Amino acid sequence: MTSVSATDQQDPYANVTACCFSSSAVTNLFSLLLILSAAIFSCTASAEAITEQQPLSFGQFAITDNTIVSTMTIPYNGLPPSVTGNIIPITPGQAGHYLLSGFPAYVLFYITVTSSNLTKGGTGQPEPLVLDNFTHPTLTANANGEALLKLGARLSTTGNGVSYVDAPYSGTITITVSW
Amino acid sequence: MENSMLNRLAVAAAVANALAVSFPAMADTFNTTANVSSTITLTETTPLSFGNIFAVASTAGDGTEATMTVSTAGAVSVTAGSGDSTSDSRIVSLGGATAGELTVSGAATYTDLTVTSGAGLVNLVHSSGSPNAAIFTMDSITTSPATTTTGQTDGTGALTILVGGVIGASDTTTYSSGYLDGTYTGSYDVSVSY
Repeated sequence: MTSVSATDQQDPYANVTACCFSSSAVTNLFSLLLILSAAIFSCTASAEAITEQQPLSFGQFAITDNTIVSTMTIPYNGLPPSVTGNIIPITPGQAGHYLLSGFPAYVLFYITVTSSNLTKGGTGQPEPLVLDNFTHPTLTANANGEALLKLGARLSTTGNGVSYVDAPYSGTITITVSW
Repeated sequence: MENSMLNRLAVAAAVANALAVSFPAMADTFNTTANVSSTITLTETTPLSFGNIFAVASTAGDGTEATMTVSTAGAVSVTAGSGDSTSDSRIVSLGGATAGELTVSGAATYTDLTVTSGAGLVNLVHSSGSPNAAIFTMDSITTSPATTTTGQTDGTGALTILVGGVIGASDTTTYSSGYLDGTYTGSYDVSVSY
């Protein structure tokens, strides 16, 4: 054992790490801290989940002309969609609902969403429908560490004059939750 | 000092990891869908039919043809041929005429659709295909809603379009056989758009 010098004892960091250790002991402690924190993080992360309760969908609609950019916006709060340009809704879309669970109680969530374009059959073939402007309310976990994320978004046509084929279009969104 | 530095490193590592634990993140990926359906489905639920008729063709080709009209409401009227140097053409309705009915489905609800008709009229020819058998000329069709006007879909996205038409009896030197008993058929085009 190596004694801690007077200088070290006055060091405020020394009080935090407590006592005195040899170099190897401190190294071991350092490793232990890393392992413990990693283990804690790992255990915490494994309990968290994002579960889709209803998918984000833009429903069925007609695009009468693609010479201008047309949009359809699905609000996160269940209000009817709004459209601009040459999109005519036929059957309504819906906001996405995603249950966040397994999180610490009462934490404030920070949500970011990234997406791919929607393409015919999800195959990436043109003409794509562009997704952006994702919206959601401020979200805090309840006492059980859960919250329901309601997600709205805007869909846009390219406006380049190329017609859209009648077909189901699909793509993906990635929801990142931090807290 | 060495221990002090190591301690600081250990604390720094702990703080750094503590920060990482304080702001963890997780992500998951989900599907999103849309269904583009710009084409409107138009189905013939009742064919436009002139029913059973007695018809005489004129082979002089120098008069005015006889006509038969079926309105969009199904009312029938005829006009006699006239002015031929030999015998005038004639059409007599024997019953069974009906207006056509087309149904739009799957369109947007409560949305105005433009109806267009009149192009692509095809004459009515005998089922035998005989080149000597007289034909009926399909002079025009009428629709309700009228062509180039709009009709509004209902709460299910449906719209009914009624179709009437006018045919004329042959008044030409082309057909030597006159009219044959049997069915005469032709086609017409109606289109709808947003």
